[in-house]
Amino acid sequence: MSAALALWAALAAGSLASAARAEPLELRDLAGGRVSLVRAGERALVVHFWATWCASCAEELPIVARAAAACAPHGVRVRIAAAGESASVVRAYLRAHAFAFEALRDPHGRAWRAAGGFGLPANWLRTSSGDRLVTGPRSPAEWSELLGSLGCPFAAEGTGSP
Amino acid sequence: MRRGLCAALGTLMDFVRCESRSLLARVAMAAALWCTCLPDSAAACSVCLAGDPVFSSLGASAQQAGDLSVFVQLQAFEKTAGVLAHAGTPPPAPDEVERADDQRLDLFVAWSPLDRLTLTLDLPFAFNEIFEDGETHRASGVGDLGLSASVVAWRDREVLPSAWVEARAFVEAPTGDTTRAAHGEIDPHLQPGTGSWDLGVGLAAVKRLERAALYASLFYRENRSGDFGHHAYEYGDAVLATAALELPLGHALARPALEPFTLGAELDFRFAEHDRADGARFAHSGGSILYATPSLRIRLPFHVRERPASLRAAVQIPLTSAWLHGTQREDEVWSFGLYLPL
Repeated sequence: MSAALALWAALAAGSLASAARAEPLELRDLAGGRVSLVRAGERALVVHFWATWCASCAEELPIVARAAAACAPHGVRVRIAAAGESASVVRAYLRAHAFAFEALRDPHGRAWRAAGGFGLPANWLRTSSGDRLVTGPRSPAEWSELLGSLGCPFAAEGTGSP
Repeated sequence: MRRGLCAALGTLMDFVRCESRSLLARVAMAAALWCTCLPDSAAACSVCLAGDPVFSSLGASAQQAGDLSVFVQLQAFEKTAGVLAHAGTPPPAPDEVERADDQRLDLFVAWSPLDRLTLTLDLPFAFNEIFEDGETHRASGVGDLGLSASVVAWRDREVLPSAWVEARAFVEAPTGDTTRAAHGEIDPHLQPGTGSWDLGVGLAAVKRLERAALYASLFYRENRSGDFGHHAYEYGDAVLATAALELPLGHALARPALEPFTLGAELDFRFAEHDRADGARFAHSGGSILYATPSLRIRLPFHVRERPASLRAAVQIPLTSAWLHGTQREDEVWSFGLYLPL
């Protein structure tokens, strides 16, 4: 009996650990390596899907870049993932616009689709209450409100480059 | 009918809110809606329409992997043509004509099981009425069931492409009735079905511009011979071409109040070879026709799975019947459709 209980506990622990390790979205860095999004102790994770050809994405990317820097100390991590674009195109865009943050790639848009994406920009949110995707451009005030609700007091006014 | 449609719509909307329903259950629900929509009376020409049903149902847009949608379309049209000679009876007078007053209800179910691949099932119901020699003959029933596959062969980018080319193929099964008699003979033009397995291949291309979208498609349809009692009848092979422009009014005119409205303008062309009755060419069949088709799509104020439902109304206006063989005249084709993402 005790052996069976021990086996059950081991299996349960294993499956829980496996679930904790599972990547919610399969994304890659610009060098092509897989990226681990899940980190222990974080309050929330925001993955901002964008594309270099998307005009409204270009308008709010500076806000997202500042949010990534400002929210990290509050346990809210903001990652930026280019949907369906090559590494060279993303690199060239970031260089041209003087963005210094680490960008990710969703090479064929599969992660974006799997998350329920139907438009760009889109923000995938992981919080203690679950995962969700919010689509469409957001004003600076809406960014402040969104990140505030996740626990990051972020003032997004102004859209200048970082 | 309208009350039934409203009741079915309400039930459907309650249904689709429950996301745990299976795909099969959602398709079954769509089929139930289709049955509820059947008109009280109506018509029959199995292959004489023009236009591109994929464009009618989805417009210049593409589904994503996992998307399921239905488009219920009612079409009404009239055609006048010379009479087919029946074996064993005197040949019809040269000026003798029959008029077909047809209505057709199609349920299109589009499903994209994979990225780049969309399967579309067409469940038609035909209501056929033929006026000949002062008599009216009616037949109605399920028509020929069609299945088409569209594969995105090329697109300019992986996510939200602004230009793409699709290769298409379709097959139509002889599920429609071909046994309805008129004045003792089985007239092929009265039947809901063609009695034959028909095949088609084609290409479609879309280019989305900043304020509009362009669409073009070209399709070849090979019709086989069908059995109609003691006779064989084969509709002529056909080439169908559509060129269309879609203009979302709110965006194009920068008027937010007009955002639910999309204007469409199409040119629909059809060339068909002569039909063959018992191997002999039927003189009053085939030829070419060109339609101008204005349309209006209205986005409804509710979304299902983040995608809007819409209504579409269109009228195909024949620019000339002079290119049709023999004695033939086709009148306007009226279409009303309801698009529902599931």
